[in-house]
Amino acid sequence: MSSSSAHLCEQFAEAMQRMLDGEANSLSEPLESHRIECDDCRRFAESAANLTVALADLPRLEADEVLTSRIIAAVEADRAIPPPKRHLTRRIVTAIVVIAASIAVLWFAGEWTSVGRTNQMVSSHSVRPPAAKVKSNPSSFDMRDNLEVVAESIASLTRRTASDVIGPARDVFGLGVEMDWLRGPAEVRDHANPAMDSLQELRHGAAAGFEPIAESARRALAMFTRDLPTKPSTKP
Amino acid sequence: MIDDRILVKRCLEGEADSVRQLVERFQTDVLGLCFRMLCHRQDAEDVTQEVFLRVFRSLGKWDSKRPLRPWIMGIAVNRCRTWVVQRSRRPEIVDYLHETVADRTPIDAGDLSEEIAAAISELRPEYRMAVNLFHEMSMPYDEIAEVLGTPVGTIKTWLHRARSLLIARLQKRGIMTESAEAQTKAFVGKVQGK
Repeated sequence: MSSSSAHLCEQFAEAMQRMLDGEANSLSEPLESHRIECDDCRRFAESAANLTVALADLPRLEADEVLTSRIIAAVEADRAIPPPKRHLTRRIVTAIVVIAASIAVLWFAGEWTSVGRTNQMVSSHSVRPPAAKVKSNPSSFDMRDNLEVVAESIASLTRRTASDVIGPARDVFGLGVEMDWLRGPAEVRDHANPAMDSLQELRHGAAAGFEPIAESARRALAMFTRDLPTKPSTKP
Repeated sequence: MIDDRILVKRCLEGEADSVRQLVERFQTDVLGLCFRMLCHRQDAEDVTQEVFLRVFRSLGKWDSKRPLRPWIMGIAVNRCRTWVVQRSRRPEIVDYLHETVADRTPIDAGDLSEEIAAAISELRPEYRMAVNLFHEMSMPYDEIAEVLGTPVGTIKTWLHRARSLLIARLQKRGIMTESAEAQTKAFVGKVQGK
């Protein structure tokens, strides 16, 4: 096969794609002549054209009324749910916890830096630091103790804020415990069910409110642990 | 037919009839795309429902200066992609996805549609979407590019490759006549060997 013939075949293929794409209505005169002369190109063009027609005629999956109703019901149910309320209290509490955790981390980082600086001073000037600030033996420097202090502080903050926010509701509505005050004859309990549903929502809301606080604390701890140096600097 | 913008406005005002109209206007397109992508009717219906939930949740964010259909189809594409990823993490249900075309016995030319559908299901996902949007939904290139977030040139390339693959696979399955197959193979070889 000559190179000019192959070149024409390639041009023909590109032109066919443009036609199949709807970007051209006809072939140029040289390519039309080529189509007549070249069996390969002619048959390939026929196959491609047949495929395009078949693709357009593919039976479509029609959505039936059942699906339509299902979608509309789901949309209506979704619209009936109010958008998630981001209570100001929850935001404030979360912000406080994050700030407290950040301060704790920064405070500890500052302590760490001062220990490192003091150690450098100890080495370079042979001055004994105060025992209360830095332990005389660097090997006794135990990061875990400090980490536990910070962890406990954050956990304490978390517990306290959770208790402050959720505690009163728990006390009033008996969240998380059996609601003894609603016990009574079956018919009374049946009538109380709608009210109980509301309380269940409150319970879930309280639990959901706690989650960001706990998450913030966990995140702060994880970041703190991640950023800890693996070994105290003892270089002079 | 009511203009898309008016329909959306009415939907946002809470008109139940308009919600139904909007669903009915686009559900077949969405379902068709989902079915092509997921190759499973039940999954396609589930994702279609999800798509419309998201459409109505975000309807207020739709830019009314742009056409509605590509926006909705874009949501459908994203939901399908997410669904495919989620489904791949659930090995227990992978088996039902689809039988491979190679497992089947040769069929009559009368089953061409079924065979083409099976061949499409074996294409890469982006090719499948391009074929569905262009050939089945007659969507123009610029809209497909918007839906898939891809340049027009890439869409054309995907379509060209998809067609070539479909022809090759259909020939392999014996859908085209022997002579046509031989001729096409020769043609492809000639172009590729150059």
